[in-house]
Amino acid sequence: AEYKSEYKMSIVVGPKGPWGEAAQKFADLVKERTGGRINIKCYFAGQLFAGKQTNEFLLLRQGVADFALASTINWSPQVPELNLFALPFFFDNYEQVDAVKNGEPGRILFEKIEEKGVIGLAWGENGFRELTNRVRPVEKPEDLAGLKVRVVGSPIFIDIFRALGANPINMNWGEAQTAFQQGTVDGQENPVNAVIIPYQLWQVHPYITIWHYAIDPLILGVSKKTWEGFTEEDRKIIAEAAQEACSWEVDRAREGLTGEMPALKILEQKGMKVTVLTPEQRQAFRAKTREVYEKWKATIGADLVEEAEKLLGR
Amino acid sequence: MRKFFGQIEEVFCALLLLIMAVVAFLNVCVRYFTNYSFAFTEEIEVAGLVYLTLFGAAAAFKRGLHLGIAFVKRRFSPKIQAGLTVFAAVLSLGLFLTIAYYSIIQIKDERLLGTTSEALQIPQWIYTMAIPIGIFFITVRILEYTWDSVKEGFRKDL
Amino acid sequence: MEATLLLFGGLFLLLLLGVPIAVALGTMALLAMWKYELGIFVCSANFYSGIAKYPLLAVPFFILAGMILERSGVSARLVNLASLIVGGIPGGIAIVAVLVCVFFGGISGSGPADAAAIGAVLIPEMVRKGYSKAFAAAVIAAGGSTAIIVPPSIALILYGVITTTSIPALFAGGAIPGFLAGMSLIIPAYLVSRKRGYVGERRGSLREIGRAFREAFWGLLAPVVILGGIYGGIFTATEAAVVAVFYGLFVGMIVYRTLSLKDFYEILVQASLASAVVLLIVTLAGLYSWAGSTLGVMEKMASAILSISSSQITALILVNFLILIAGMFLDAISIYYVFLPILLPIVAHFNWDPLWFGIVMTLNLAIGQFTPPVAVNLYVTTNLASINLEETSVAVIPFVLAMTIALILVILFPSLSLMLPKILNLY
Ligand code: NA
Ligand code: NA
Repeated sequence: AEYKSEYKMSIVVGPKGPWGEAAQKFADLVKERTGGRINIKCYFAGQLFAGKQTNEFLLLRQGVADFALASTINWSPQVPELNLFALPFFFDNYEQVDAVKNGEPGRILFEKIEEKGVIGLAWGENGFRELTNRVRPVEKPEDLAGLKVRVVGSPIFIDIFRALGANPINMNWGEAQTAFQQGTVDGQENPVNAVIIPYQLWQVHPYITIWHYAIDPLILGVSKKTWEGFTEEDRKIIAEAAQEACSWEVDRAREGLTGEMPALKILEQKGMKVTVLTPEQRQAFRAKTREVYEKWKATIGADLVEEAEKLLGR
Repeated sequence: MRKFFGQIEEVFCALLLLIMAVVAFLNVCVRYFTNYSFAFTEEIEVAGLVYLTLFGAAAAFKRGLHLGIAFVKRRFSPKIQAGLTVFAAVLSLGLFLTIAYYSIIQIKDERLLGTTSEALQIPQWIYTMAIPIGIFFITVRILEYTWDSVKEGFRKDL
Repeated sequence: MEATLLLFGGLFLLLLLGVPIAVALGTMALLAMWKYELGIFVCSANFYSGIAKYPLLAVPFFILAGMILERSGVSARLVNLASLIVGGIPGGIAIVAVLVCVFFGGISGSGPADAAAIGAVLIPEMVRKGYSKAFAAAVIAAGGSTAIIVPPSIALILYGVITTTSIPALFAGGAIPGFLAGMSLIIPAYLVSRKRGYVGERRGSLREIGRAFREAFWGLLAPVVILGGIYGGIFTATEAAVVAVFYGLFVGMIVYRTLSLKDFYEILVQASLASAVVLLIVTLAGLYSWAGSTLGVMEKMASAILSISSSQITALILVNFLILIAGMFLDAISIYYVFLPILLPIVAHFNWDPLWFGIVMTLNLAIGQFTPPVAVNLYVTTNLASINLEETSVAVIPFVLAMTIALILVILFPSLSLMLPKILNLY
C-alpha cells in the first residue's frame, strides 16, 4: 500500500518529561531506521482530540490517529480490563508490575485491545499514584476521613476514595490547581516524577503519602488500519523502536523511586513531610477497600485478575 | 397541536434549564451544609448543557436569532438577499448534517465497545444521542425559517 | 500559506455574505479538516466536548440570573436610586445610565444583557427628556459593555476555559479595570450633554434617597452575594451563578412579588435560547481554532507578527490594534477562539502575565461591543431606540475614545489588574 506523508501520534501530555520525550524518541527512531519512509508527527497535550481524553481510543481505532502513547486510565472506558492496574493496593512494587505486564495478563490485555482495533506495541509507565494533601499526614484510612481529594475522572478511583471515607471530587487539572491554592480541595493523587515534582505541589500540600495505591502504565499502540498498511520489514522496525523508547521511558519514570528512593529527599528538602507506608499499614488500606476490589474484579474479568494474582503469589 | 410542535424545543429547554438549575442548587446546598458533593451531578449537568445548546439552537434558528453580519447583505436587492439566505441555509444544513452523520458512526462505535460514562457508568451513547436528535430539530427549523424569509423577500420584490 | 488563506479568507468571505458567525466558523473548520485530512470523523466528538465543560455551565446560569433580576424590577429600582443621588448634574440621566450599567454589570455577565436591562428602562426615558436617540443608544451600549469586564463575566469565563487561567482570579482582576472603564464613560457623557444642553433632573431629598435605597436594597445586595460567595471561598464561579438564579427568584417572587410563573417560563425560554446562541459559537469556534492550530496556521501567524518587530511595545500595540479591528467585525467569543491561539505564543514569548493579558484583551473586546458595523450592544440599544445601527456611528466616537484611554491605562499599569487577585490570594 501507499504510505502516508505523515502519520499522527497522539499524546495527552506536553513534550517535556519522560512520557512526551519517549513519544518523540519513538518517532525519531522510526524515521531514522526507515530512512524517512515513515514520518510520525507527535501531537502533544491532547491536540488531536481537543479536550476529551477518553476519546483517544476511538480516534485510534478509526485511524484518525495512527499511533498513541496513552495512559491505560484514558482507555479504560472502552477497554474495562485495563482497570486491572487501578485495583486498590494491588501491586506492591515494580517487580510485580513488570511480571504482570510482561506475562500472561499483559498478553491477554493486548489481545483485548487488538479485538477492538488497536495493536499494542510496548508498555511504558507513568508511575505509582501517591497522595498529597494540606491537612495532615495520612498513615491509616481514618486519616482520610472527610478530606476532599481531587481524583482523576475514572469511576474506580472515585469508588476507592469513597470506600476510604474521603470525599472524592472529579475536576479538571486546571481548575484543581486553583482549588488547591484556595484550599477548597484538600488533596490529590498523582505520580511523583510525572506530576508532583514538576508541578511543585509542595507549594500547596505539606504532606505526601507513598502508598502505591494504583499504578498508571502507558501503552504505545497503533491503529490496526494503519498497521495493516505497513510492510513486514517496517512493522519489525516499528515494534523494536517502540520497545526501545518505552524501556527508556520506564527507567526515566522510575528514576529515584527504586531502592532507597532518593527522589523523596527532594520532596523533604522542599519541606514536605514524607510518609512511606509499611506493608502492615498498607494492609489496613487494602482491607478497607476490599469491596471495591470485589466489585471491579467482576468488571475486569475474574479470570484475568486471578491470572495476575497467580503471578503475584496470592 | 401545531402550536405545540412550533414550540416543542422551547418547552423542552425551559424544563431542562429549570431542572439543571435545581439540581445544581441542591448540589451547592448539600456541599455547603454537609461537606459532601455528588460527583455524578456534574456529569448530568454537563450532558444537559449539550441538549440545551442543540435544542436552544434549533429554536434560535426558527426565530433567526443567530448572530451574523447584516450590513453588507442589506445593501442588495430583496431577490439577492433571498439568494444569500438560501446560501446560508445550504451551508448550515451541510455543516450540521455532516456532524450528525459522524455522530451516528460515533454512537455505533460507543455501542460496539460498550463505552461507559465516567461518573455514572451508563452507556455513553445516551449522551451522544443529543447530537443527531438535536440536529433533526435544527434541520427542520432552518428549512422553516428559510422558506418563510424567502417567501417574504419575493413578496417585497413585487 | 494555502491553509492560512483558506481558513481566514474563507471565514471573512462567508461572514460578509451574511452567513451566521457560528455556521461560518463551523463550515471553514470542516472544510479544512476534510481537505488536510485531519480526520473529519472527530467533528462530532469535538462538537460534543466543546460544550460539555463544567465551567461553561455558568453561561446559562448567569444569563438566567441577569434576566430574572432585571424582570423583577431590580434595574428600575437601581435607576431610581441613582437618579435621586446624581441626577442633578447636566446630562443626569446619561450619567445615571453609566453608573447603573456598571453596577448591573456586577450581576450580569454579558454586555447585550446589561444593555437590554438598563436600556429598556432608560432609553424611552431619555428620548422623552429630549436626548437624541443616537446618543441614548450609544451611551447605554457603551455602559453595557462594562458587564464583560466587571465580574461576573461570561467573556472572562471563556478566557479562563481556553487558557486554563483561574476564573476567580480573572474575576477579581476585572473589578478595578471595569470600574475605571465605567468612570471613563462618564466624562464624555457629561461633556456631550453640557454642550447639547441636556439638563439634569431634580436631586432627591435625603428622605427620598433613603426610601429609594430601601427599595433597591435587594438589588444592591445581589453582587455582594455573587462575588462575596466566590471570594469567601464558599463556591466556585459556576455555583455562584446558580446561587444568583435562586437569589433572583427569591427577590422577584417573594420580596418584590413582581415575577409571575408565566414571566418565569418566558425568562427560562429566553435564557435557553441566548445561551444556545453563545454555546453554539463556543463549540464551532473551538472546532475552527482546533483545526487552525493542528494545521500549524496559528503558530505561523504568531511568528509572522513576532517577525514584524522584536520590540515588546510595538508587539503590544500591534496585538491590541488587531483585537480592536477584529472587534469591529466579530463577537467577543469568536475572537477569543480564533485569535487566542495566535496571541498566546506572543504572550509567552514576551513573558506577559496571562491574567493581565486576559483583562486587557477583554477590555479591548468590550470596546468592540459598541463599535459599528458589528456591535452586539448597539443591536440591542438601537432596537430599543428604533433607529438604524449606522445612525449611531458618530455618537459612539467619544465613548470609544474614552474607553480606549482606560484601556491604555490598564495596559500601562498592570497592577490595576493584578493587585486585587494578589490581595485576595487567588493568584
Ligand atoms: Na459582569
Ligand atoms: Na464591534
